[in-house]
Amino acid sequence: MPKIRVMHYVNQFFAGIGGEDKADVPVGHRQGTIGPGKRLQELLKDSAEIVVTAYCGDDYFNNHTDEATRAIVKIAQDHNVKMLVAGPAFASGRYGFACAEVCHAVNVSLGLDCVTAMHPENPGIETYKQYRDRRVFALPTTEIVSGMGETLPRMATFLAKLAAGAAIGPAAEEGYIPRGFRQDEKASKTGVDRAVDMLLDKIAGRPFTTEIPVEHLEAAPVAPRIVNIRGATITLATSSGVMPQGNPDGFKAYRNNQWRKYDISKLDTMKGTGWDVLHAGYNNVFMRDNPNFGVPLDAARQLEREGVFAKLYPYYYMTTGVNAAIPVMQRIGREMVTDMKAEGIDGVLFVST
Amino acid sequence: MKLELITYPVKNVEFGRLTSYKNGILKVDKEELKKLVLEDERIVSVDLDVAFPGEQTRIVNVRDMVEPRVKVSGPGGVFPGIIAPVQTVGEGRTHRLSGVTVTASAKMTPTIMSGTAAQDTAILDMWGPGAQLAPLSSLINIVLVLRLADTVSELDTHAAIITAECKVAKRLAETTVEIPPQNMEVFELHEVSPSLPRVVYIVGFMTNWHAPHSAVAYYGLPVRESLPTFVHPNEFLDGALTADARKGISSYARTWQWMNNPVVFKLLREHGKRLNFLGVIVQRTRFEAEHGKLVSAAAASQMARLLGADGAFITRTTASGANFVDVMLTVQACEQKGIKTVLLGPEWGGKDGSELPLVFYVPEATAMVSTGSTDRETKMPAPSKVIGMAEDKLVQLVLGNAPFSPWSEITLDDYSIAGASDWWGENYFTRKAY
Repeated sequence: MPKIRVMHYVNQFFAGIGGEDKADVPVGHRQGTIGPGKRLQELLKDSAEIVVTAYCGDDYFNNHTDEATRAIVKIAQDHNVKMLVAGPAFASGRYGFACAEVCHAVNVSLGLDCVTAMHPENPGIETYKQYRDRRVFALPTTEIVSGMGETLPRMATFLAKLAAGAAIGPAAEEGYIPRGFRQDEKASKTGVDRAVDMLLDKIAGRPFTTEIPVEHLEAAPVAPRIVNIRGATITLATSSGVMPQGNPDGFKAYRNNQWRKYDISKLDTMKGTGWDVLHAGYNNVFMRDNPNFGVPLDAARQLEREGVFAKLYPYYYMTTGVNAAIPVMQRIGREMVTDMKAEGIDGVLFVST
Repeated sequence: MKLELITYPVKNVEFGRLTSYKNGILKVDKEELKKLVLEDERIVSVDLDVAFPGEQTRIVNVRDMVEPRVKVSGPGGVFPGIIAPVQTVGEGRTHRLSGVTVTASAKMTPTIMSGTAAQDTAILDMWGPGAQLAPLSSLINIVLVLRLADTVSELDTHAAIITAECKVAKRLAETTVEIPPQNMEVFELHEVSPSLPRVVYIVGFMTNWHAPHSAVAYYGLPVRESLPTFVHPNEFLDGALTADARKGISSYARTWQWMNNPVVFKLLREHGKRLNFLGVIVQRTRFEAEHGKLVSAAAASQMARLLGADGAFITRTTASGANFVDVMLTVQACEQKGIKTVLLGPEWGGKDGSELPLVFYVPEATAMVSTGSTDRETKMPAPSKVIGMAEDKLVQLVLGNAPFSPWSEITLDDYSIAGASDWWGENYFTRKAY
């Protein structure tokens, strides 16, 4: 059986060209292995063959990312490789970023499996997790190059497994850094049995592994205050599911994924003016009776008349915010704000439920 | 408090002339049970059918289900506050028929048209991919197909459905009263070795204070904005905790699940072996503002501390994000009081698993067990039999969503499949990072 053809990507330092002073070297390549690739090839034995090594200066890559990745993809294509290995980059941020970008580009343009390795806190891992390519894998390394000796065998084993076409299991079992996908699986014990084991281990101070890691959620920054509110155009927005009668735009009662804006230019109140409510996450009875609770048009018109602000925007923005996915709501928020900015709106009164 | 729970396994259900149980065969006199149900004037019609595991049967308009149980000795009766007096249960002897449910499929005329207080229905497939998710599909479902009078209020609808299913369930379990016990488990929180870790179960559950029924009742009383309550685990086994029988979606636990809460059973069975089970803190969650959430978390954790708990097993019900905040704050409050926690339940994460698994985190939640994602969608093939349709052509799961024909292939999320959301870890599912 012919050996699987592999391309190796390294930076200018590991290509033997030079250190920081050579960081602006553009993309180049050499046949066969260079630097860490030599040891990697020994470890790969007959499972795969590194036929070409592409390299690039870290600064050059970071300053010319698109050009550099295009050139590297072309090298891979010209050499008819079937896999890519990049790094290891350890804690080097620019190098790690380049490895993640190269893997992504080669995977997307050529559909190849890619393996890289770097320290879990290397900024390249952020890039890797953003792309979430199903066939790109980053293995964890130490921060410093002294970890080369134990990293290369793991990379070789992983490459050999991919070369053999074996299925790759969960991150914890295969030893790669999770990309941010989670998949249902059946465990050997029920949930309650696993949880009792985990609790007793935790109480006794024995090691245990959580099945859901703690994440840090990004806080939404508070917008600066409006200095001249008397001259401002204000709009109303709501996630309360107040909508025209009969749900004309087909909103879902939960896990909704869209937004709309509806005309209120001729109205002074939402009560008794033909509104409907669809939202499976709170008691809708009071809202149906008086939708001003969700879209406080009555109070807003009063403030507009008193000149507290200059003008109420003639539409209100709405969605239903129940049990929705965070990325979907982030998209809806961005789209609403883009529209508000295009419409010259200065401030928004957002009513949540 | 000692409860002897005696199990009579049901291998087959047959309609016959005399309701009886013998050698695993439950015979059901349809006319007798119909008469029992129709004692309630709020119910205008009833039919009975049986759905067996593995057959291509789809049950629609599913609301609630219970396990047949009867109190044979000791204070009170099963389903206190519903078909028995309000008297503390969990002592004496209770008989149960295992492997079988009494499932209520009901049609009603809603008056609340949307929101958390509205009624909803679920679907239960007895075969195929839907059955893989729902443990209720592995049980013989004795289905009461009910039609409520048009003028019955939302709360009376609940009362009529739950009364009907509890009465039928008790009647069926009564067939075992004279049969000597073969399979008996004794549950008691007796003195154990002081070296065993002291564990409390905090069962969080969302209720809607404003709804006709709040979603969960304790001795038949809907739990509204109450603070945590301390309960003996045996009380669960006699049906002291019950569901809003108007709501079929699996976001809320059904009464059958409350009676068979796997955490309660597991901790009772481990008591004196690997741990010292202190009891259950029943915690109402989903306070609407942060103040309430913090107070509830403080109270539950304080109760655990006063019990001398070393550890707390924490679960929740409903997929609500606001509800999840209460639960996470309870984890945090326990850990801050030195009580080690494990939090078990399903995660979100989106259909392709690329979204964040949870919507709120505290750094103290270091031990979590995942029962899989609630964001699954399951394609369920067309059935050869549908129970619960009567003369209708379409069914509707949640008000506002489009009605559809249950005779065709359908794709449903977990909430719409009765019992498919695993709030308490009864299944083998987990979720792993890739």
